[in-house]
Amino acid sequence: MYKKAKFTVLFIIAFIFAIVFAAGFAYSITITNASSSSSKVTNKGSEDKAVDTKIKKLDSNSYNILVMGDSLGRGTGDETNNGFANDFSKLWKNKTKKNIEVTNIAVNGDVSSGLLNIVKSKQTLQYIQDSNMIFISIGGNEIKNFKNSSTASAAVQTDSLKTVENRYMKNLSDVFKLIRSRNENSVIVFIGLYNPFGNELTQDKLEVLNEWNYKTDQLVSSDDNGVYVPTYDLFKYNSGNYLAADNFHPNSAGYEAISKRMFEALKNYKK
Amino acid sequence: MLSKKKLILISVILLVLVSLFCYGENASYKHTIMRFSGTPGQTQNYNWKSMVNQQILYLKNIVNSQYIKEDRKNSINIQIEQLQYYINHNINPITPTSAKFTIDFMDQAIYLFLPLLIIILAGDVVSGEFSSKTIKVLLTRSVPRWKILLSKYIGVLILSCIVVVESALMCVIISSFVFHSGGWNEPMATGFKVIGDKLDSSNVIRIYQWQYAILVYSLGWFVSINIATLSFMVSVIVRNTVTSVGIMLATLIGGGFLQIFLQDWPMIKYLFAVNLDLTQYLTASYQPVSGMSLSFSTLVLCLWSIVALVISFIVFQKQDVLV
Repeated sequence: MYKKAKFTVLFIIAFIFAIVFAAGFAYSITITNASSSSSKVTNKGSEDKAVDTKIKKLDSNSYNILVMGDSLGRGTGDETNNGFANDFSKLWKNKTKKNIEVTNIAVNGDVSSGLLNIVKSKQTLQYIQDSNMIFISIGGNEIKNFKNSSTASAAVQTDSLKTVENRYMKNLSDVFKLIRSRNENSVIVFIGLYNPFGNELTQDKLEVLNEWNYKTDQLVSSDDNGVYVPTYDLFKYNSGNYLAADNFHPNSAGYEAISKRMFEALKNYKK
Repeated sequence: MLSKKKLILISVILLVLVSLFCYGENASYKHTIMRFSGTPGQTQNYNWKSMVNQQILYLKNIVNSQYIKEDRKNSINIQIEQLQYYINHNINPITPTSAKFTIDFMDQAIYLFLPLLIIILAGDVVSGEFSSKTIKVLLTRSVPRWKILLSKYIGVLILSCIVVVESALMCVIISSFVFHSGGWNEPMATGFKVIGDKLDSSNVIRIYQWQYAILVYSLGWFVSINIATLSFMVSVIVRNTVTSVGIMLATLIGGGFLQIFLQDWPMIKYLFAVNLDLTQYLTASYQPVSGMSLSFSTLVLCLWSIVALVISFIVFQKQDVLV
């Protein structure tokens, strides 16, 4: 009798779980097999439409600031999520009667070629046309790779560095040309590169960084309304206070310091 | 009687292994924390929250960017939700939770360890009767042969279901005891699909860890009934327990080797041993041979099982029993 009851209990348990498992198994098959083709087609259609119709114009009654470039422009690392652009707009509030609008189209991890592609798009050109100020931060992702490539032979390295630098300068000058084709007057502020690695960076790498900054400075300054804002000196002795937890991006204090310097540079700029 | 002893053996194996894994996971977690905080003893002191917050901000930036494709947004949003869960419940993301452990256990066990337990269980169901010569007594009863075999098969199915349930229970109980944190309601993403070499995340859905655990154990159950069926067939054909278990083990382990050596051979995907790792399809972590999917593997396993069943019934009906 006892043995029979035990068997029944065992059987019932197994039966219940078999049903649960079978249901779970059927569900797993449906979720891994969900026909994505239909939803994908509709998605694509709407995307194409979006490109055609959604060219947004910026409000001409407000003071428009456009931010382009990489994670630094995005404000990555800032606990308050402001970034230098919003910090700057707070400082700039008294300088203009208009309402300041910040449009941020920076992309995390972007390099100069990516920036050039973005600037080429119709939407970005429209933004550029409507903007009073344009902030650009780019190049950090291109040069940061050279920090770790110490194993490669020096000759090869400087060689590839040269090509990267030339491509970068070419892209950047194209970006400037494109901007100026749409908007001749607004000021373009370029944020220079700092050294987030501190003493880890060897002397020759440091020279590369300085040369990079110098060449960028020359290119930006050749534009009548271009301003190069250096950050190297800002972070040299302050990296402990100005860098975020990832030891690469600035924190809120770092972004604020950059914005102050930008404000200082543009203090007497009118328009 | 024999199966009862074996169930106890399997329980002991599970108990020892699960406890060992739990202990190991806990030890490595403490080690990691110690590395993070620098000073031994202080386990809660390193600042993971700001790191997670940073990650959330970063992901939110990606989602808000206009240059991102719609179908990626979905999975990133789930990731954000997952990170937010860690913050809200004050769970460090690297903390081992019993939910994660239970899922990981089946993830790893499904292609070798679980089949092994099932083979121990089912390898001698019929051949054991031959070995101990009890088959003569069984067959002299006025019951048709197929009924005897069917009852044996049902018994094997019940036992393999019990083994899966038991391993789930062991994992849950022991890991909650060791880790002290459940994490069963943590959201996670599933439903990825590999098309070509690209990960298609347009159908990603959000489910909770406990739901995911049920899915994973369902797959484990499916694998174990298939293995049970195959070992059942072998034990009908072979009249010696050791040979029967040996054949199953060899094909199981040999199949895994074949997968490494014969990757470019397209026929490899029709081998049952290659199709056992079903849980990988839920996360779409990798594809052993291109063109394989969960439904494909299911079909292959079902086919093997049906053929095995047919063979075992035919053989058992026709074979002469001379003991």
